[in-house]
Order: sequence, then C-alpha cells, then structure tokens
Amino acid sequence: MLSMSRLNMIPLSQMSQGRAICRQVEGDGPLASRLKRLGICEGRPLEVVQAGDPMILRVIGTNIGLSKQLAELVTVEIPASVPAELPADTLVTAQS
Amino acid sequence: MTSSPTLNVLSPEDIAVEPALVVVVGNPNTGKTSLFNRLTGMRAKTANYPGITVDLRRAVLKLPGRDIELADLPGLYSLDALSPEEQVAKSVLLGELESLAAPAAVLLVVDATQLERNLFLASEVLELNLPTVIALNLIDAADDIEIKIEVDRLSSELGCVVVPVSARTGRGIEELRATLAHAVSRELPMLDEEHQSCTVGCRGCTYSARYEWAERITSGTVQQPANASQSTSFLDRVLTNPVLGVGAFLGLMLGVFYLIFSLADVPMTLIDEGFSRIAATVDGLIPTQPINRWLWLPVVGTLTFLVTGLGYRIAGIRWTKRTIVIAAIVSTLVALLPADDFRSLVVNGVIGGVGGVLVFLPQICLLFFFICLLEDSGYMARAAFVMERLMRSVGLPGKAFVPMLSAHACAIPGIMAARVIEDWRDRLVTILVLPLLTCSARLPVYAMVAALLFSDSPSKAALVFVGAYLLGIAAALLTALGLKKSILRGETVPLVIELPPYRRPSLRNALLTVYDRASVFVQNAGSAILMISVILWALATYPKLSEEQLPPQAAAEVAALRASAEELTGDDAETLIQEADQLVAQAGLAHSFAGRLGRFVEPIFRPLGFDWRINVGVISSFAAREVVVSTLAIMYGMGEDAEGDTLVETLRRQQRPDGSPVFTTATCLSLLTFYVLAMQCLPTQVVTKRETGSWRWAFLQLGYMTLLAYAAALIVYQSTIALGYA
Repeated sequence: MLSMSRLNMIPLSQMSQGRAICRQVEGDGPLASRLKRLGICEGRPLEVVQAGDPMILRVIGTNIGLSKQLAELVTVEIPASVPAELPADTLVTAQS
Repeated sequence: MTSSPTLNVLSPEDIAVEPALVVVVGNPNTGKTSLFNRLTGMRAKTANYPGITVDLRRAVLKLPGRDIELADLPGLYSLDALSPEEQVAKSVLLGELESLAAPAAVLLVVDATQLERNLFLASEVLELNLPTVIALNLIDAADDIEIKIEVDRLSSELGCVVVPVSARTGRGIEELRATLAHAVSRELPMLDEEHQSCTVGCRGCTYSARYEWAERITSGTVQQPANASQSTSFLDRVLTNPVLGVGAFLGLMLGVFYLIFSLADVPMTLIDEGFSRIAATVDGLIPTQPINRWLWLPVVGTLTFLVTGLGYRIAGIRWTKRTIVIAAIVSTLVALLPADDFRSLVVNGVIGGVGGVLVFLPQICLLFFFICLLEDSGYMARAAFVMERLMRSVGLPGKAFVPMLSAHACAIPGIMAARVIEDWRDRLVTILVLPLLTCSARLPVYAMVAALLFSDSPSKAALVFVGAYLLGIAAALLTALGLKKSILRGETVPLVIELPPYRRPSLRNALLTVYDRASVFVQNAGSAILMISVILWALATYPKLSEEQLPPQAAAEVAALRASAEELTGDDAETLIQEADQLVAQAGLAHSFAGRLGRFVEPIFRPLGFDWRINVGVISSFAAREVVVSTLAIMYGMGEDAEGDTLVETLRRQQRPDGSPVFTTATCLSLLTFYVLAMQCLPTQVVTKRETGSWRWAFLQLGYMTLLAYAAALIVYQSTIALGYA
C-alpha cells in the first residue's frame, strides 16, 4: 500500500470530484467487462462529476452512473499536477 | 403464395428470392430504433424465435436490385454479450441462430455526437469482415453543438461507407437506402485485405486498445468545439440528487399514473359499451325460433370455422393438418349445439370473455406510450440511477422500479418493461413478483369488500384500499428477497448505466412502439383468452338444468313470482319476471360443473371462511380476477350486472345453513387477502411465459402466488376469528 499512496493511487470509490487516470480494474468476469467496455479500463482518463453511491463519472464524453460496489473494483491515479478545479480534500484522501 | 404487385408491403414468404438479411446494430441511445422505424415504418413485424426470449423486429425493404430484410437487433455496447438481448444480437450477427439466415450485411448505427465511444463497438463489428455500412445518426444534433466530422476521411479510415443521417428529420435516408442496396449486391468497394484487428499484437487490455484506436480515428476526423461543456447540467444535478431526484421521480410517476387513469377512462368505457352493443346485436341476430337443421348446421359451422381461422391469423398459427382438424372439430361441435346454448356461448363466452380482457388494452397502451417517451428522453436512466440504493436493499436493481410501478396499473406492461434489466436472474425475480402488485383489475374486488365491511364510513373503506396496496407491495418485496435467497440465489448486479443526454422524444417512435407492443400482447394472449373464456363458459353452463329439474323450493318461488307477474303490468311485472329468471340462473350455475366444483373444494376453502358459492367465484375468476364480482352476483340470485348498493345489500343478507351471515368481517378480510395475492389472471401468465421463454416460470408464478394467497387468507381468517370478530 505504501507504493500506492506515493503514486496517488486510490480506489475510485474514494474519489471526490475531479479527474484521474484509470490504472486497474480488478477481476476479469462480467462485472469487470461491464466497466471496461464503457471505457473504464487501464490507461483511460475519467472524471468524477458527482460523488456518492451511486456516483456519476464522465468517460469519453458520456456520463455514467456507477454503484459504489463497482467503483471499488477500480484503482485510479490522481495526476501529480493537481488541476486547479480539483478540490483540495482529494489529495488528503489520496494520501491517507 | 404469390405476391401482390401493388403493395410494397411484403412478408418474407411472399418473395421467391429470399431477401438479403441486413442486421441493424448499434449502442443503446444512438437512435437505432428510430432509424429502423424511419426506414421501415409500419411494415415492421415483431417476431419471437424458438429458444430465445428476445423480440426481433423485422421488415422487408424493396430496393433496386435485391430486396433486403432489415432486422433491428437489441442495442449493445460490445460483443461480450452480458445480457440475454446482447447474446441474441451477437448470435444473429455471427449467423449462429438456426431460425435466421446469416446476415448479408451490417448496418451499424453510430451517434455522431459520441463518435469515439461508438467506435468501440464499430471496431468489433468491422472485424467480422461482413459488408458494413455505417449510419452516422444524429448528425443534426452534432451540427447543433458544432461538432464537425470529415465523413470521407472517416470512411477511408474505417474501410467502409459512412452515411450521415438524421432519423428525426429524414436527412440522408435516401442515400442510406441506396448504399444498402449496393452493399447487398456486393457492389460496395471492399478493402483488399481483411480488416486488421486493432488489438493484434497488443499485450495489455484489449478494451484500452480499442478505445485508443477509437481516439486516434476520432482525433483525425472530428473537430470538437473548444468550449465543450464538461459539467452536468442543472437539471441533471436535481434529477440525480439522492433526495430531490427521488422526489422528482415519484412526482413525475404520480403525474403519469394520473394521466393513464384519466385518459384510459374514455376508451375503456367505449370498449365496454362497444362489446355490450356487439353482444346485444349478435343476440338479436341469432334466431329464437327453431329453424331448419340443414340450414343451421352449415351456416354455423362455416361461421365458426371462419372465426377460428381469424383467431389463427391473429395468433400467427399456421394452417397445418393438425390445426385444420382442430378447427373442423370445433366448428362441428359448435354447429351441433342447440340454438340457446350457441347464443350463450357467443354472447357470454366469446364476446364477454374477450371484451373483459380487451377493456384493459387502453391502460396497457398508455403505459407503453409513457414508458417509451421517458426512455427516449433519456430520463429512465436517471430514474434507475436514483432508485438504485433503495431497490438494492430488497435485492433488486434500480431498473426494476419502473416495471414495479407500471404493474400498479397492469402487470403485463410491467413484465414487458422488465427487459431493461440486463441480468437474467434479476429480471426473472422481478417478473415473478410483479403480479403481486395491485393492478386495476383488482379494484372492483377491493371496492366490493370495502363496501361490505364499511359502507357507512368512506375513510375506513379507504383504509381497506391502502391496506391492500401495502400488502401487495410488501408481499412482492419479501418474495423478491426470498427468491434471491433460494432458487434464484445470486448477488444483484450492481448498477452501471449510461446517462444519455436529454433529447426530445419522438412521438412517431412512441406510437410505433405502442402499436408493436399492443399487437404482441393481443397475438399472444388473444387465443389463450378466447380458449379459457370458452372453457369457463362451458364449466358454468353444463350440465344444463331444465326448469322442470329446479329444486322444489326454487321451483315454488319461480312459480309464485311468475304468477304474481301475470297479475301486474309494466315495470312491476318486468321486475318480477327478472327475479324469476335470476333464480333460474342461480339454480343453473349451482347445478353446473362450476357449481359442483365449488362444493367439491368446500373442505379446502372452509378454513378461509369461504362458502361454496364464493368458491364458484374463485374458480370462475381464474382467468380474470374481476369476474368474481359478477359471478357472486349470479350465485346470490342477482343478475350479473348487479353492482354497488344492491349487490352489497344482497351479499350482506346471505346466510349459511346454520343461519349465521356468510360475509362476516373475517370472511371479507380473508377474501380481500386472497384476491390481493392470488394470480387469477391468464393474460399475465401468457406474457410471463413469453418473456421468460418457458411455461415453467409461469407455473411457478401461479403455484407460489396461489399458495401464498391461501396461506395468508387462512392466517387472516383464523386470527380475525381468534380476536373475536365473527
């Protein structure tokens, strides 16, 4: 977990509003496929536009509603250079 | 069969050369079905194939060169086939379905405003190396938000023809038709080499590879406006808010329900009156005097044969040796009936039975209409989104909410609307519990019981209704939970849903959908309803009781009534004669199979407080629960049209052999509980069979609901007695 926190890697379910890069989707069953085929897959950018359960993500120009249970399968990386509009508490969550 | 040259409306069998099959594929929310409707209009027919529970809409298009048969496949995001619909779409696309030819070409519909996302599916479809035409739909919407697409370049990048179209305005449709004609006559420029998979040599995630490919193609061909909005709109923030969103959804649904019930009122009255009028006309047409047997037999036989043929046509049953023999036997039997029985069969059995079910068609159509509008507008996805958490607590997905709400008008559109639930188990659980929710056909029964219990207090009567609704909801949710923990064990698939941009729904589309769904309902349920109506009619009519065979007491009463009628004139005499007829009808029903069956099952239903007359009501309302009211009216010696105060007053006076009243508080509550929970609706069963693909689930539904209704009514009756309410 140490390496994860250094790289700003957190589960998607813990993200508040802001952008991130998807780094890993756990598992390869139908649940993972459901996410991946909508563009929530390794290396793709995504943005949380509304946190909560379910949350709203913006992926490739489309809003996607996602339950927390699925968001827990996804690991995202918050970019090191935090964009201005990203709320400060994202980083706190990321490093805890 | 020969084709008629004046029509360009052709069914597939009409053409000597099989038309080439062109399948229409695309992501959900790309306007795929609108485009299909734009190309085919009213020509499309919905078909259900053996072994699959998914509908395919197909239509033959006459094009220069070769005719094509267009098949609208269910929307899909990828060829992973994660839902039954996607599985079917994939099988058809790969030519794996035995009942359907392999596709000659593919019409791939993509959303011009979401090209990059849509190209994911395109990359999978292009790898199939079938002749493919891409329809760049919603091109007008893309223009509006200043998205510019270099169509020629896109076409050469993808190696197939790309036609910009708008299903809404009709732009590009002619060009699309021409391109399709070329595609099936192999005049389309094809690439020399096979389409290379973009995932070849890729070691990482194939999904990422496809999206990277899509991104590369899009960046070279699409110019996005610089100031593309990245935030959700204000409207969406409200509608997806955990609190406001649920409130907005419930408010909207309340409005829709209000509209359905108020709009359906007029056509329902019209249908009801129409069927009464038809029944009266037919009643008048059938001669009362004995007529020549040799004229009667062929005329009635032929008429019955024609009606049976019409039934076959509506239900899509083919003429085979077996079906012809069945139709001939039925016609002969009907022709051999005595004239009075024939009249009763036609008027009460056929016209009454069919009218009783068709009267709910306006509600069913209106529900389909509003569901379709809400779906097309993009709102349905938000509704599933906000209901997700609430529904998951009972083990159902958020998408189950709209079907469950619809079922409060009628279970049938609810069951059909359950198709939006991707996971098969989740969908099945939803379908199985939907008929427990209070539909409008239960209302006459509730009204009767409420009046029996509290005719003096409207507020207490209202409580009966509220209690019945809540009992239905609680039973449905608990049964869902129980099914998920037993025979359909499995976790509810968590929500992942595209929230498409809001769009103005198309009226034309909604009307076509309503037409389509309503004809599916009539085709499937129609013949079953007709059959069961006739069977129930026969049960309630035979064996016949002639007036000489009346029990002594009834005979004396009838004679007395008729005698006093002769001394009177006008309305008074009419009333007495009517009363005498009602006594005869009552004795006839008691003497019939249904009456005997009611007595036979008396020991079974006695613990629920039902007497044998109520049992006859339960049996006769097997196919349509609201029939119990009119059966009880006949059983207790009133005309079948008795309702309201006369019915309730008469029912109150009824006594058991020991002199105690029949309709005590305990019996009323037990009867109410039974009708809240019992299946008692054949059309629903037929639709369950259709949507689940097997009678197994329909029987399971019938079985568990009947047991549940019996057990709950037993508990209610016995505990009410124990509490001292006799």
